[in-house]
Amino acid sequence: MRLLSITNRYYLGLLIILLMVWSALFYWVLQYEVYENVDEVLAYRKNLLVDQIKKNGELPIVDQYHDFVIMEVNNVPPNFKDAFQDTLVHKWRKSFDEYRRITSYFELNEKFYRVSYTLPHMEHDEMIETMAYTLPIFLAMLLIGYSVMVTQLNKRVWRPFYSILSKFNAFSLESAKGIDFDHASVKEFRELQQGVKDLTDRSINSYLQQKQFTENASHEIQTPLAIIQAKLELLLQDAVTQRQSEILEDVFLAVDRLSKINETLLLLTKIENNQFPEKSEIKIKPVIEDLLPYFDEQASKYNIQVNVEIENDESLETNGPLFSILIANLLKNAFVHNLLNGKIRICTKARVLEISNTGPELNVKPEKLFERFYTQAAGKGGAGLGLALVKGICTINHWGISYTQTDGLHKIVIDYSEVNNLK
Amino acid sequence: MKILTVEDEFNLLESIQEYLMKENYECDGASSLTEGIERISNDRYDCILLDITLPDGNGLKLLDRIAEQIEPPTVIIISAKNSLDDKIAGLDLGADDYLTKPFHLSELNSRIKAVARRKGNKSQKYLVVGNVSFDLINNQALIDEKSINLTKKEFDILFYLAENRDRVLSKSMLVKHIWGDTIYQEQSFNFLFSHIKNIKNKLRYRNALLSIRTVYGLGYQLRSDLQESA
Repeated sequence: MRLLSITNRYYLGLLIILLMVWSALFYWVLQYEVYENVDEVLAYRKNLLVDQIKKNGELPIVDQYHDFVIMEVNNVPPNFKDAFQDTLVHKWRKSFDEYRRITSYFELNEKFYRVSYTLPHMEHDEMIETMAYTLPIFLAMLLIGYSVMVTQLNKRVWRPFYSILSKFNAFSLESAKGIDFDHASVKEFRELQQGVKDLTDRSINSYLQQKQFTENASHEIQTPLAIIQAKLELLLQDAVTQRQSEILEDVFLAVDRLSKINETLLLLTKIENNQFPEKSEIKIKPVIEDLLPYFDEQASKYNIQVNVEIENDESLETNGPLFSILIANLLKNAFVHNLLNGKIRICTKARVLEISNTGPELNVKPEKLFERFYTQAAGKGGAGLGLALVKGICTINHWGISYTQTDGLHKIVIDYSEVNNLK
Repeated sequence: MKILTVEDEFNLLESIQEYLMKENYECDGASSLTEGIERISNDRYDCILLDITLPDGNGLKLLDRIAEQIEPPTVIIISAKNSLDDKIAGLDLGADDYLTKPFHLSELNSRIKAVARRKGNKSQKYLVVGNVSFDLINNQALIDEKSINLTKKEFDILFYLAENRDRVLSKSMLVKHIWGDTIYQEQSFNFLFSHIKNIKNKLRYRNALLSIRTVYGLGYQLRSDLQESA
């Protein structure tokens, strides 16, 4: 829900409640005013009538065309004040109309009389009817006017906020470019801009530092590793006992592994930092055919059947060496995590590359598979960086990558369609 | 062959020189860019091993100086930077090869020879050890001008051993050389073992005067039986 609609909703709700309360109050007040008015008129007319009677000393002739009725009574109730009451009077056309009646007493020539004076007044039905017609129109106009005004006003007032929001959304750490805001006249928005700017600048800073750190650290590690390796190799040439040579080989392997992890991490960092901008037209089939012989031994030892189904070899615009690394890692993954008498199928169709292989069941969330240092097959010698590399290469190329597992068949799909490519 | 190594890390420079001197190369060392420039202006080298990150500047600057020479030496860049753009930048400027630290000295040796072969005349394309000659055009080992029918990988292994003959090459060095960085894995050691077994059989069958010695737990060493008998 949008910010503006949520405030609008509350405002409108409140407005409707207020207007309803106001309508009720208005009705009551109006009614009170009407009664007061009618009662005043009644009292005045009655007094006028009584004064007139007392002046004349005789009762007037009362007929049905008069609004008053005079009756002789035995006595006046004690402490009597003029009484007002509502009454319905049956008029012609068979309808009752609402009337107001005043009842009073007066004395004339030692006799007591009761006088009632009746006048029509504005009817409740009519009042409510009129209100029922006019109020909704009034309300609707008010609400529409209010909505339009508030929406326009809000749009104007909140414009800097939405500008901040869209710039913040467009912000990418990798580009390492800070956000430039237009000057906002509202203090709070200026503060927000400053806050966002500080935050993003700080993120960029630490991102760049981290980037630099990984790169520097890897470089610095490579040199001592190179020395260790060179010295070991010199040591190797001297006559050593079998026990010593076994130890040496283990050290060699450990150094190799360390340097491999280090190199891969460095490569990953560089890929993520987009340091491989060179691109060329690459055909997929030759890359696969160049790399497959490296796995000949693996294929024959485990009797793995490899099917490459690429008929119309599509070309794609990407960095050649990185693409080879991608394919090599995918192939390695497919061979290493395979079974005896297993199968590997590689095919392209509609700008999608699919590599599927038989293999033991995996209990893993697909997204976890592409994380750094994720490895489930213990003792296979991998550091769990191969698929992280694959993912990294896909990401910088804006290719989609997904992993699925069905009936012991593991499938990695890389979607390098133009739509993704252009993004 | 005269080789100049420009490397600021003394320990590494020393090791490289020690290894290369055993190959009967004439070796000079420089530990900075300035020293390197001085060396190449005073002397003629066949090959330069060049580190890029030097204390007083980028080693790639040396490539400009080298390009000015009439008979420029071959250049192999040795760098901790393994970024592909450095590689491209280096090769564009006229370097012949690129090795990422850490590297094996045997690999460096093999690269120096390969670079020299590429620049040299045709006769250098053959290497002879014992009675076995290596035909690098057809990737075949010959005894008495007849191929001993090695597969591509078997040839690569044997040739790598031959180039570094009399040296002990560890299994991991061989595996890395044959299968490359990305692909090799624990399994590869078993594959190497069976390849070596096949090579040995093929050599024995043709009475080759060279042998592959197995250094237990560690690796292999190629020796010419001819030299020993002589």
